[in-house]
Amino acid sequence: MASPQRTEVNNFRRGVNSVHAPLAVNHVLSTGLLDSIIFDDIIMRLASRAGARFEFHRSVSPLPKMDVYHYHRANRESRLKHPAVVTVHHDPDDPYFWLRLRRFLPRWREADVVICINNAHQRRLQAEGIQNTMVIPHGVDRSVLPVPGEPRRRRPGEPLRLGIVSRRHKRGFKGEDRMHALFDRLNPEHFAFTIVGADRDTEAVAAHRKGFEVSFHPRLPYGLFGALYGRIDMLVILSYWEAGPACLPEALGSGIPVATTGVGMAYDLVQDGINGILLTGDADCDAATLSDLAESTDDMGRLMDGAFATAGEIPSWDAIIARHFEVYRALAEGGQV
Amino acid sequence: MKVALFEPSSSAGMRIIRGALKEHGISYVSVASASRLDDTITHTVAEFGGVRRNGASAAGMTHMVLRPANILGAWFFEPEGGTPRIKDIGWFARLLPPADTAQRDMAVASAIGIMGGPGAATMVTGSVMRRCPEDGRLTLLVANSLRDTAVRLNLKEIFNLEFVSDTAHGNEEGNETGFPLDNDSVPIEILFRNADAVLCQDTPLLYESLRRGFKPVVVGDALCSVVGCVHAAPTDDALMAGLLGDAVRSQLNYEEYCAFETYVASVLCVEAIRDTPASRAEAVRRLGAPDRVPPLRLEAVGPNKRKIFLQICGEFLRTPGPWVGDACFILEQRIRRIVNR
Repeated sequence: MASPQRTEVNNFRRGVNSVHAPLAVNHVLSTGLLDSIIFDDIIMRLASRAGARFEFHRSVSPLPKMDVYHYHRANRESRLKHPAVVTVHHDPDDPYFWLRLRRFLPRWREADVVICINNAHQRRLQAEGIQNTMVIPHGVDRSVLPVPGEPRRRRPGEPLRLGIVSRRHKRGFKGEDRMHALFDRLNPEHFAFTIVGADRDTEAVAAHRKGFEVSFHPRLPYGLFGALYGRIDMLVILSYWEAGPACLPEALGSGIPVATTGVGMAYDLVQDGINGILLTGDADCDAATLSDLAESTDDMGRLMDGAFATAGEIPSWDAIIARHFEVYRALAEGGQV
Repeated sequence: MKVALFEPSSSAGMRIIRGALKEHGISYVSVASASRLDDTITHTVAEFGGVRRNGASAAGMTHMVLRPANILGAWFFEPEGGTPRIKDIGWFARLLPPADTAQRDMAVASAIGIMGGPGAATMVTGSVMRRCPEDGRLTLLVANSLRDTAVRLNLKEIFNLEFVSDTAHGNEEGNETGFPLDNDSVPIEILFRNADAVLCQDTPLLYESLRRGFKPVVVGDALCSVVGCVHAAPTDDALMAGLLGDAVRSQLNYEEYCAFETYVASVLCVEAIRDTPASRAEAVRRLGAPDRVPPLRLEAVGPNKRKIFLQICGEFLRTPGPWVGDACFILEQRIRRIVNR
């Protein structure tokens, strides 16, 4: 935890009055070679609401004389500058070489606060003896995705439209093989797909060749995501490893049920059979589950009702950002987070 | 409306609009891509009677770490003509939301840039601004290669100057400086983030704005106006008044964005699949079946072909980048020739 002495030293170095000056928060990306849309999005959302209270600096290496350091790729650091916040943007059990747990543990232990996106990851870190954790999930931008006024209803006579909203990753952790397996097993007369995401043309083409009606957007302005979710009946997430994903709260917050494997925020937000279904990852089993849903108007209607009922419970980005600000403020003042 | 973006040039349409704005005493902000910067300055000076300080603007740009097609920044011009005065930049500042201090500072800095001459404008618009919390002055982060220019123009009178490396977008310690500008394409992002509407002519900015979900008002003859994703004919007084009064919807809806996608795809089709055996064979290979080869004529493009077109234009649409606008522009000129043939 940041000591009061350290904070005083920082303020002395900056030559500012800690009561009136904005808090300087340094977002440390640790590499200039990798781009991350989600990092950019979170940082921009924080900055857009900073007002006069915070001053945000983004850098590859930590800058001197900052009040708080927020690390996004802690595994690439040899030591952290304090007070240090670290966000766990990935699944700690992801076996990918660069994301192996042992690469992160020393820095997480060193951090003043470790922010997890979901409760499962917090428990995972606690099992490793890391106790300075807290959960701040992804939120919903209510200016684009307002709480729905009424439950969704499936369009009569039309196939069940499933949405896939994610960019394609070469290492396949979004469950690309599971998507193709589903295309092989689902009936094109009962399902249609809306696919959004960079490099997802591979899946769009595959679904199209299997006979599904496919609507594909390689890129969609965020302001149109409300219209996007308004056009699908259910979001499908087939990932192996996730911290979020961001589309999960977006869909549920829009009153759209979600069919997802048990990853990331799924166990926090999806109530199986109420506002979505938890998939197994087994193609035959999941295809059967989805096919049953497509054939049963009542079951799908119940899920849509459930998603509508819980949509307002999904936290907004405003609330999420406020929690980040609380953490920054507490750390800068040397208090307990 | 908070800010209007123009792409100045010598076109007749833009001259009409600039004349109308001048006549009504409306100040405006324009945005120029690097490739058009020299053209912009030339015509602005010609129309507004300003003094062109030197002819080195293009040479100055070569020192910046900017991709050629990037939008450089905003420029402020007085409607009455003459050299812009520094007191008038408050007009631009008032257009932007007061809470977004960083963005406002950036915009103001861009406006100031023109007053120091083209070199300063290049420097400012390719740099990062932030307000110093201690004294409230603007700090201008200047690329090292423009250090001499900054000193010669005596920009210290206006800014706190901080010199940064222009090879790694960082300071001398190798760190990036400032927020949120971490790369050279961000200034236009900031302007778009703060824009309620976009006015432009048929140029790369048109496509940049469409890709970001704007429904721009297009000056002059835009080919993509036929698909309904733009407000055409801005010389219409009612449309112009509605836009200025925030009464015109300036964001694309889903259907309009789809129309834009279709349009881009069709543009690319014309370019990507020529009517030659080799091109058609390549298309067949990519699309998997002979009957999926898209038509070559623009008129034949319909919604039911959209999915197929998007296969071809995947590279085009899925990779965000300033080159998209230029590519569109180039391709569109070719289509014009084909259609008019």
